[in-house]
Amino acid sequence: MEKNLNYKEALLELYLASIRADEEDIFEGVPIPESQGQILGSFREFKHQGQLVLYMIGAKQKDGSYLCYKASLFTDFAVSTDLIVPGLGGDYLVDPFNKFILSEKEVTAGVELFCLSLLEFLDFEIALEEMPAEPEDVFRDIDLDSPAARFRIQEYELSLEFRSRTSPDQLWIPQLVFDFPELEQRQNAYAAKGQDLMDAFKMLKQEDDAKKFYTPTHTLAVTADGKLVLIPNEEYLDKVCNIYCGAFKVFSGVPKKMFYVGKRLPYPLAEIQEILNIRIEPI
Amino acid sequence: MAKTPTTFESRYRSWENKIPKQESSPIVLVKHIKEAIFDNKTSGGEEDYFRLMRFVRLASSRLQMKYVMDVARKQGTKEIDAHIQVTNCVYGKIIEDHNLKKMMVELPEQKNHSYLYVAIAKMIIKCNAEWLQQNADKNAEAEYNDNYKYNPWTGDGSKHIPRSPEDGDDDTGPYDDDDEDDTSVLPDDIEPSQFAHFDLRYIELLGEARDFAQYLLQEWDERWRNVLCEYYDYAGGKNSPRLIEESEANLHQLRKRMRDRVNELVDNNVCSFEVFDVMVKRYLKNICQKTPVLATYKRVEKNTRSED
Repeated sequence: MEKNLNYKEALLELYLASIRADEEDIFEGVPIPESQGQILGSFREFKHQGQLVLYMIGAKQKDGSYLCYKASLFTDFAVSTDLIVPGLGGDYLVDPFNKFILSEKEVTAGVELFCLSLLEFLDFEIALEEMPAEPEDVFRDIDLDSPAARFRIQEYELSLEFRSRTSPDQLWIPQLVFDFPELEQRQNAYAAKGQDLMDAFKMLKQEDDAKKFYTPTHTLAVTADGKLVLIPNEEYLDKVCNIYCGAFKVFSGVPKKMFYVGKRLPYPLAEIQEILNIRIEPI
Repeated sequence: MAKTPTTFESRYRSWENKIPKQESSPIVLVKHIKEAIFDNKTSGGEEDYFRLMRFVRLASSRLQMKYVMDVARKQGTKEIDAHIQVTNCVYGKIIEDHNLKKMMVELPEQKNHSYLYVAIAKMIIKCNAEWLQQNADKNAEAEYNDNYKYNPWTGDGSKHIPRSPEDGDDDTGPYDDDDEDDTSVLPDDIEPSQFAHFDLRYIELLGEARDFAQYLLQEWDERWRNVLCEYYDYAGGKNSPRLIEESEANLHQLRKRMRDRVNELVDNNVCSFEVFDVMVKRYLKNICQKTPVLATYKRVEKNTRSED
């Protein structure tokens, strides 16, 4: 018997089909039970722009809104920073770094699938406490085009609008998270030029001299502590905009004055702009 | 007179052709499935299984099923066999999921149909994924980084929050790699009677949980009941008046220690995790009403000592 299909590719297709909301949604208007008294640890799903967003409620905020974590049934795509919890029909993956805020109204509009028991939720919180504050470099050796990367990018895309609402300091940029051939090619190009220590010094010196790079929509800059930031032009600060990095939408909402892009890359800012192709488009 | 079809597939096709349209809608099918599996109201024959098969086909969005069928075709498996294997897996998950059973017992009739619908829909996604896992080529996995690999049973890779041991860890369906034969993938007749046992077990659990609640009220120091009740409030999204003078870091430590104390109770056979869960759902609210609100853990410790 021939088994010639790549499992991860097939699983990715299944995942993509599973998040597509049916046009004739028979769940619509169906009353679903609320868990008895417990809200945190509740797994819910709602339909947003034709797609199903599955999440777990992680904490209640002081203003009554809820901190939620993106969840998925597709545990085969899990990495070491994900938390795996028992749920309806099997295990579920929770990405502690893909988090967003939902209002109470939005939470109650979602369909509740199940809720972790009090002890399971406590175990989840204890595990969460042990997580590093910054995501580990777990995706570095995963190709941007691989099913694992495409799954993760889709998961972040599903939560993009909600993540953008709170205007996160840090943009989640797939090209900087996953193995991005373009970056490696640039690095190899420098190596091919026979770049020695003095060249490297000159390059860094050149960047020191040019800590800002202006584009028609934004400025890329390096902060005093060496962080790479994106500063949208003032005209966009009161408008709903999309920010793109190449083919990926990385923000959708009213931009902050400044976004943290990531660690400083070893290239001049002009090169970074060229590689990432960052642009801001008002909606 | 028409002959009765002899193969499973032909009997299914014949049933599918004969069933009136109003009886083959997903919501009607799910009512029948509930009656067959949870209510002990049907004969448990082949028709019950056909209904589950039909539901799997309908509730699995066309695209999801398409990928399973694509793989089935490419590897030479008959579509009907893939359909049966996924249905068996779904059936296995329905009967093994303790939470689903509890919901079926606890929810009012009009709500448990809709809940069952949603639950089975998720189980179908899981089963489609498991079917692919067992049938598509996994050699290509080697190309991925070790970080990407995850073993849910050993906990290698991602952090795994275990379920209560009573729930069991085996969430694979009732079929495995050896189930290649046309007939071996067919399930035994659905036996609704086994769910009557579940009702009895649930009644037993309620009794054990009630006894355990009594134990907590009598034997657990009120400082620890206070910690448990604070966490209960917190998980319910309420602003708890308990432990308000403790820092976040202290609260976290207290909750961790409370978790350890629960483990000790389980280790000493005072309760099981399942009984603890039922106690939380049924009796903790009442226990907390009877537990004084304490703003700190330490102050009470002093009072308790002076009382001692």
